[in-house]
Order: sequence, then C-alpha cells, then structure tokens
Amino acid sequence: VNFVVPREIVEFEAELNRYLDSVLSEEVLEEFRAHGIGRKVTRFWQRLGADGYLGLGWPVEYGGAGRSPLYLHAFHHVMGYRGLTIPLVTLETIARALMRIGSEEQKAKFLPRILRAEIEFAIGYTEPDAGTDLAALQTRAVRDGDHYVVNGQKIYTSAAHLADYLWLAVRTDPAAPKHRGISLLVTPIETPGVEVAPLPMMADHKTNIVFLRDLRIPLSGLIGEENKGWSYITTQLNYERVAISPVPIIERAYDNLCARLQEAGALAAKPFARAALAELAADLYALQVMDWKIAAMLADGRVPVHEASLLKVLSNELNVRCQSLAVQLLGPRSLVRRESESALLDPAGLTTERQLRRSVVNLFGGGSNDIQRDLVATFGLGLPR
Amino acid sequence: MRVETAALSFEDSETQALLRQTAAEFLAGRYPISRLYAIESGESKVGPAELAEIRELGWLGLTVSESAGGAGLSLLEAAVILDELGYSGAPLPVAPGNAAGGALGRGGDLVTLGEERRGLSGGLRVEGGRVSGRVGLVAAADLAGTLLAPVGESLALLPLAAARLRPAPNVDLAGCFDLDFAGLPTTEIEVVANGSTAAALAERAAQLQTALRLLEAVGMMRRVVELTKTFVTDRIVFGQPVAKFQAARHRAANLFMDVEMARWAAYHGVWRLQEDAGDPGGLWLAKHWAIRATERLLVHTHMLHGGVGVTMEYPLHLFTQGLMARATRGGDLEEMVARATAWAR
Repeated sequence: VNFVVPREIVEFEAELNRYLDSVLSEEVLEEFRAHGIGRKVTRFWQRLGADGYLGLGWPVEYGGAGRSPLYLHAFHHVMGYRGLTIPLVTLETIARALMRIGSEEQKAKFLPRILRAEIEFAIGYTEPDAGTDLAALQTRAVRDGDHYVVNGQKIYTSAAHLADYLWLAVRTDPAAPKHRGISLLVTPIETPGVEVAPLPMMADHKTNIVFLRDLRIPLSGLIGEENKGWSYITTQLNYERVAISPVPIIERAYDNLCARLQEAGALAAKPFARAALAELAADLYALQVMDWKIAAMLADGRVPVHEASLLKVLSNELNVRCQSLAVQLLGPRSLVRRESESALLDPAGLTTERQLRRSVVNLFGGGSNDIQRDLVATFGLGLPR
Repeated sequence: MRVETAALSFEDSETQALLRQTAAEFLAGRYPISRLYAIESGESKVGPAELAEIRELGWLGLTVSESAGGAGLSLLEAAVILDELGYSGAPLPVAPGNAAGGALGRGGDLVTLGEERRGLSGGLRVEGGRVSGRVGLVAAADLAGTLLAPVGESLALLPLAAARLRPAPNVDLAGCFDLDFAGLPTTEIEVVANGSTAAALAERAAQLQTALRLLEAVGMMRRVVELTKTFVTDRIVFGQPVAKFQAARHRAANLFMDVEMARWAAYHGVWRLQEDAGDPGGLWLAKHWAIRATERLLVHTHMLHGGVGVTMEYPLHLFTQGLMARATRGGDLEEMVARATAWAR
C-alpha cells in the first residue's frame, strides 16, 4: 500500500481554492446558499466551463482536460466543502453515457454545449410505480413512422423546471422480460406533449412531476440501441453513486462543530461533546480513507461496484447522524432557518437545519441504501442472490 | 496519467504480499482450528518451542533493525503479519513483544509489557532501593524473560523470574498474568530511560501496541466475515439458505462494510505513524472505529449464526472471543476517546 496523495493533487486543490476565492462574488454565493441553482449560478458554471474546470475528467477528444479521476475527486471535494453545487447529472451522468453510447451526431450536438454549461438535462427514470424497482417502469414509446410516440408519467424529475432536455427511460418492447424492453430517449423539454408540474419537497428542494402525452420524439432521439436501456442505466448509476458522496459536507459539519464549541470555550467541560466529537472524527476518518480507496481504484481504471455502494450507504447515513448530532450539540438555535438574522451559519453560509433535512434525501437518492446493501452482500461478500 | 497516480495504492506491495503469504502459510500449518481447540482445552500450549519458532521467523523484532537482532521491516510491512496472525487466531505474543522490543530497538528475546493501561493496576514504586507493586495483565509472562514497565519516573526492564505470577485467564486463548514484585533490589533492574525520555519511550511502546493489536483485530474480523459468509450460505432454513433472506443479507452486508472500513482505517493510521512518528492521530481514530465496529460485529455475526455460533464445537467463539480481547487491548474506548479528542482539536 501507499497512501501518499500525489503532490499535484494537493496543489490542484489549493489552486482551485484560490481560483474560487477570486471569481466568486457575494451575489453568486447568496444564490448558492438560498437555492443552489439559478441564473447567477448558471453563469458561474459557464465561467467554470470556460476556465476548464468542468471538463477536468473528460477525455481530451471531447474537449476535456483528460486528467486522472484523482483531479475529479479533488474538484468534487473542494466544491462540496464550500457548499457549491455543480450540474452533476448533466456533466457526469448524461455526458458519460453520451460518450459511451451516443451517436457521433448526438455527441457533436450535446457534448460541447454541456462542457460550456449552456444546456442542462433532467433525468426521467422514476415513475409513481417504478422507483427502487425501476425496471417496472410503464411509460410507453411506440414507433410511428420516423418518430416514437411517448405516453406516461415521470416523478421526482429534479431540475425539469430548469432543464433544456429531458432524458427518458421508456418501455419499447412490452412483450420482452421487464429488463429487456427498455430504451433511452432524449427530447427538448419545450416540446408539445411535455408538461412539467412542480412537486415541492422538504429542505427547500424543488422537484417535479412530468406528464408525457402523445409526445413525439424523432428516431434520432434514441440513445444507444433500442431495448438495451437497462444496462446503460445501471452503468450510469455507478458513476452517480461515487460522485454524490457527502464526505466533504460531513467534513464541513465537523469543522464547524469543533470551531463553534471551541468558541463557546467550554469543550473541556463537556464530556458528551468531547466523546461525540471523537466518535464523529473516527467515523469520518474511516470514510475519508474509503473515499480515497475508491478514487484510487478509478484512477487505476477499475470500476468500483460494491465499494461504491459501501461508500454511498455509509457516507449518507453518517451525514444524517452527523447533522442530527450537530443539532444536539449546538442546541435549538441550529434549527432556525437562514432567513432569520439569528440563524447559525456554517462556513459555507448554510444552516444545520437545512443540511439535516437535505441529508435524508440521499438515503434513497442515487439508489436506495437497502438495495445497495443487497449489492454489497452479493458483490462484496459473495453471497448467493 | 499513470505517473500522476502511481503513488496512491490500496494494494499490498510486493514485500507485503510476500510477507503475508509466508505468514499465512506458516500459521495455517501450525495453528489450524484443531490446534486452537487443543490450546483451549489445555491439551496443548504455546511454550518455549513455539516461542523459538517465531523468534526464528524474526517475529519478535519485526521493526527492529537487523543489526539489533530484528527483521528490519517497516511498520506497514509488520502490519500484514499481525493481520495474518489475527486471521489465524493463534495466541502468540507477537504484539506485546514488538511493542516493547520496537520501542527499545531490541530484537531477539521476548520482552513483554502490561496490557492494562490508564494506570489501573497501580504500577511499580521504589522504596529504600527496592521495587514493589503490581503490573496488570501481562501477556506471556510465563514465556518472556523480561518485562518493560514504568518504575516511578523511569522506564525499566525487570527480570520476570523475580515476580510472582498469578494467572489471569482471559476471554481469549492468550496466556495472561498479573505480576507482583515485592522488594526487588534496584540493582537487578535495568533502567532504560528517565524522566521525559522515559515518558516518550513508554508512549512509543503504547502507540506500537495500539497499532499491532489493531491489525491483529482487523485480521480476526476478516475471519469472522469469512465464517459468517460460509454459514449463511450453507445453512438451510425454511427450505433455502439463510443468505437468501433480505434481513440476513443486510446484516451480513453491514458486517462486511464495517470490517472493510476498520481494515483500511487501520492500515492508514499505521501508515501515518510510519511516515511521521509524531502523528499517531490516525491510529487513535482507527482504533476508536474498530472498537465500535467490533461491538456491531458481535451482534451481527452471533445473530446470523444463532445457537450454532455459541457452541464450543463450532469455531466462531474462538474468533469472537479473541476479538473482544483484541479490540480492548492496546487501548480501550475510554482511552481512545481521550486520545482522539486531544488529538483532533
């Protein structure tokens, strides 16, 4: 083993932090803190794209910098610690899928604009009766000449109210076994037959219901091969699982707790706080090491499978525990919302209450933790299915 | 791209892999489950012949330079041997021997030390040129010639022949004793350091003991995972393997994830200490984590094994009891909380 993080990665993190300090205005930060997305945020992403940060891990042939996954890991780490969102789904999930299975025409049409943060995609996979059991999806696409005609309903379609394109999983062969009759289609969201309705969520998170009624998508909107959608979807989720690790969020919460409690000056006299912080520090340390292990695997060209599930499960569950603990250590003031002048803000300008409410989302987002446990049992431990 | 990432690796180095294989083969040959049972029943014991064998292997001075009678390994190289030792369940005094010997820089002969930290046993004092007092829970005191212990403000080597040994049988198979010294002349002890030097040396021995016991614990956890996997795969209930039930799969997955985390945190903590002798922070955090992982592991594995797991004829108890001991020795949770908080902020 050798756990030395290469010097250039450490230097890159420092360089990125200096860069962000120089380009982030208070106005942009305010939009990040209040909504996480918006016009100013989008313009900031476009600047990141123009300055080469969005395509760090993208291959050179698609306009990226072709850097090792360790750079990408460092990038996510810095952005996450600062509470800065990035158009992750479009940039990593969609773009990676396009690179792998998109036609040359689709690549040429979408990839350069994704890299410049000019377009965003919303993913329409989940349906009211197909969530964890995604392969049960019922949205139907029927060929009609040189078009597919799509009917059905999607739910939890995050960012559909802001997106330019909709990336859909649909059933193209209802006679086939359920994993074999699924295809991926892409369409501009401003197309007759697409209706986006808001679905407000806890933690100020906005998501949507998308109704699809006689939506016509040209055959050129098919991604990859017809009826092969399931294998494309599951490969994508592996990337997403690694990218949504909340390790930097937990780090920020830990640092904030230590600073706040030291400020209060009485940490030495608080045996519970000391013991709780020690436990949190130990939990976080073990996670950080595992996070690096996965980055090292990716850098070595290997695909983490049960490792990604492990990190997803343990990091997101620790995030819930950590934010809950922060509330208990900081007291009821930590539950005051950020609109109030008396709200307690962390170094990223965020409240604990919102992070606690947000933390529960990724217990199921990116693949339910209990399904991930099943994957760990199968692929990590080698149990029979 | 390879050049950028060449340094970061979570795989055994060539030397580690070789050491691991050699240790695993030796231990599997000498300490199969049947031998552990014989030690448990008293039919067999770890005696001078076994000690001579591990001395020959260099296991009594793993990190000590070859010129001082050791094997000249790095701490991370020594770690894989302790990992394999834990996996085997063999109750050999490698951890205490290397903690004392490693701190002193002396290889060859077994020097042991007390496992009861935090001053719980009272310790040794000098009055009128004579040493008296108690050292608690000393591993292999019946095999070792010498004890490393604080005597007042000094750190000293004491002849074990001068102590009264009282067996303190433990939850695991390792021989353990309480020692009483009653008026041993100070001329018969070897003071190795005084004052702050003594404190620093004692601290180094304590850190090594934490590291080595932690790696032993991690190896033992791997064995528990393996036994659990086999059991839930082979055991049929309601007409199918236990492993088919989601509740059981989730428990087994939790067990597996805990052990993976404990293992990599342990290696990382040991690495930090190896790179910088002034940075035991990762070690304290990793041990803190491993102790709590052990608590969960006991619940999961025994729940999954049911009655079979607690019968003496099924070997699981050899490893869960061994783990109870190894998670606690080399620093218990009370000590780790104190150390981790002092270190973290």
